[in-house]
Amino acid sequence: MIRAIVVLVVILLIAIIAAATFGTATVSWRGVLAGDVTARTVMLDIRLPRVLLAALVGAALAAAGVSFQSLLRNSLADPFILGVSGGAACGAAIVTALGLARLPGVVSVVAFVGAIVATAAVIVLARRREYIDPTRLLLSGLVLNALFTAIILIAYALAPESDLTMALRWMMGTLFGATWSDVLVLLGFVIVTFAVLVAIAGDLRMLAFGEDDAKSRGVDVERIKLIGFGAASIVTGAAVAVSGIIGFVGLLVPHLIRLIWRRDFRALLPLSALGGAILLVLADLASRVALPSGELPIGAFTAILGVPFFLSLLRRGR
Amino acid sequence: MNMEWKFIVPRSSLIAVLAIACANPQQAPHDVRRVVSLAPNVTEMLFACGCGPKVVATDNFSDYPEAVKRLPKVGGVEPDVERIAAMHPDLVIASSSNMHPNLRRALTAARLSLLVITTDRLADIAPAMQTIERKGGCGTVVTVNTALRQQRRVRPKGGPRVMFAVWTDPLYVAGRGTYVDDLLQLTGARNDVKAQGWPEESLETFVADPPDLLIYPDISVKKSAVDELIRRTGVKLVAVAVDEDTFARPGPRVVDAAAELNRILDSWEASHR
Repeated sequence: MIRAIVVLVVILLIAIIAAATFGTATVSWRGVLAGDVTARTVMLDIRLPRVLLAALVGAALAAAGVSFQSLLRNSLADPFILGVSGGAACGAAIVTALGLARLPGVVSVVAFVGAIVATAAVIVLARRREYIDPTRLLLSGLVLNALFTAIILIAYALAPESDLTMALRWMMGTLFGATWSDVLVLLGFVIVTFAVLVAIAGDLRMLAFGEDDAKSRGVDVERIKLIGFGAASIVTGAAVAVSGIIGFVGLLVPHLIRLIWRRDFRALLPLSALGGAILLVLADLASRVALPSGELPIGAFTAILGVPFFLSLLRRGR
Repeated sequence: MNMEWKFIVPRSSLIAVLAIACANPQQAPHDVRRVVSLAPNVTEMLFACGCGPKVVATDNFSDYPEAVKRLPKVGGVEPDVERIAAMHPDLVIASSSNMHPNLRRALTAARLSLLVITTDRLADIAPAMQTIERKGGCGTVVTVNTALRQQRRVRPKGGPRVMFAVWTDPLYVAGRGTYVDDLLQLTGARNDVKAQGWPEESLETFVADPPDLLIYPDISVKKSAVDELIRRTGVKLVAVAVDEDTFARPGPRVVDAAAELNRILDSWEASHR
């Protein structure tokens, strides 16, 4: 496990250096070191916070994905299927319909609140006599997603026409305008939730063998489910708040890691987080440099980069 | 109580003004040598005010006047902040109608000064041009309002009923309180649409109460789509295409838009006496 972590950390560092080196403006690290004002502004104030934010969002989404999969013992669980991202998107859409999307920060805060409210709703719907049934949890998420989609459609139909392009961009995922304060805020969320998830990692691993088995080994299953679900949802909400909806990372990355290393949750959590960070840093680089001016949606590149890799591994593993 | 307020209000507003002035270190106009425009109508205003030579880059959609086509492009709704910073502009100008909520903090992080202008209504254009002329140190004061006053008309029986369609399937139209509505009022036409903003008009309402004239922008709406709408609904009306850029960009060419509208309305009146 240590060796795998070292390998991924090295790849992540290379990806971050590459992403911070390449962009649409022609500036160099030499210029930064020589004190060139343009190079410093472009690389240190604009590009680097964006690259690091991409890494944090990737780590957050992949870690949330692997946690949901372990908690529900279902390999298809991810923040989207469970309605967490849908709740965030729903909040953002309502704000857009009210014509408030132009106010800086409003969409972020409301998206975060939407993710938390959606999580609470899904848990309340799935809980019966102090017991959270994984199947009911997945079903509640799916059904709530249908409701969220309906609300999003109505909200966008009512939204001011001039705000729709931006709303659509947000739904596709975007790291436009990332600043150091975004990086620091998300870093805080990631550190706290990771600490929580690491603290319950041993219990989550037990859960993989079945709830009764875990209970007989002294795991407070319902408490672990609540804590794990809460932590994963909060970090998803924080990631969505700064980046919009970036799909697929929470599902794709943990499976990639399982295909390569096949390890238990204690190893899967850090490896998935690193893998998610690498994928998003590279996807963001691609989205920034694909066009001579302007950018393409980052969410498209997570799939374009991740899917071929995933499929080749899947075929080889057969 | 009243006495106290009299003192408090001016003092607090003075502090607010000072706070805003300190928070936004704007360049003095004569220092502004390099300008980046992030909207087509802003670009047109800059050139009309004589700031054309100062414009070093524009958004992807700016294409008027001709000289703009050769300038570097820096993107659309999410402009390329890296490239903007690398061009060392003294001033970046954006329009509030297509400005990304993150743009201000992105430019502030890059220590670039941003001017945001609003041109949602006809009456906004003249002050917006004055602001651009002053902040950019451009030198030419353009009096749009004088030229617009010459386009003011009063037509018999309140003028023809006009619908301005920006999409036909579904039918999206210019409602009340919009820039197009202001143009219709100026030229003495009646906007057939009662709703505010840019509503979707139901085909039923369209058939039950059709306008005399259907005007549409020539790029977004194709003539075949308008013909299909008329054929399907069986309404009797005159459909006229207008130059999209003149009508969709609230800037110096608004005078051309008003003149074109007057020509259309005059010719409709001449044939419906």
